Amino acid sequence: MFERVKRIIEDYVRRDDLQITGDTDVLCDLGINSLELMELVCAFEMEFNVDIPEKEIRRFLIVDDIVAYLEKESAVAE
Amino acid sequence: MRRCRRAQDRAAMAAGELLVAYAIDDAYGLRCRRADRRMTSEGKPFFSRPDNVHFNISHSGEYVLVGVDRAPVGVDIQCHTSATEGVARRIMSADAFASWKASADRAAAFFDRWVEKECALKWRGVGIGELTQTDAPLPQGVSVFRLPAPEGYSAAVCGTPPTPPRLVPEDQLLNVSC
Repeated sequence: MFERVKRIIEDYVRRDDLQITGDTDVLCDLGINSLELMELVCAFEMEFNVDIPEKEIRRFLIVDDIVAYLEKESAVAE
Repeated sequence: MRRCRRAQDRAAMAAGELLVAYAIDDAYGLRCRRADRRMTSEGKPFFSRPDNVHFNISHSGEYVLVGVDRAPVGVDIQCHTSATEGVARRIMSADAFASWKASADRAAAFFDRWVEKECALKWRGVGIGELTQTDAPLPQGVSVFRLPAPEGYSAAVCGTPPTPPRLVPEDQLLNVSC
């Protein structure tokens, strides 16, 4: 799951200097704004075939938060 | 500022701070060094001395937008990049989304809507996770106003009725007294 999330972020952010780990801060380390975060969320929704409500987005502080949410939602879907 | 890694963002944030210093001096004769900078309960900075002066900063592309007021204010400016359908679907009603799909300039239509939403969130001092709050009514006397913006940009302010925005060239900021 982490690798899939990481690939989506890398494809979106496209920065050579970016080393994405679970602790990477979603806004500050990735250097994205709120619109870009929404676009990333839409990319996650398409990749994992889930709906991510806005109230969950506020909990996406670091990459591991996204991974944990998607793991949980994927498990529910199966 | 240290937390933001992109050089372009750092430059825009520095310009934003200079613009705030310029604007509060220009509008209220307030030097930022003498003003007491505090945070609201939502973590939104403002100056509390001698009287409350609120400000808000947004940057996108080559422009930085700053709003200052005696009352809370939220601003947003966005360069027209590509508009994604997924985000459009999230921020628009079904009717608005259908109109947007049929619009001749989808990017402009999308960003016009986005800046209206974003400045309202910033007025409230909340993040994107509260996007649905933008549909909640604003208090009396507070509205969202679209601002004239450079070609290829959309801009809006949430607060009391604004005066027209002024373009401040970069070199003018170098002489700002703090």
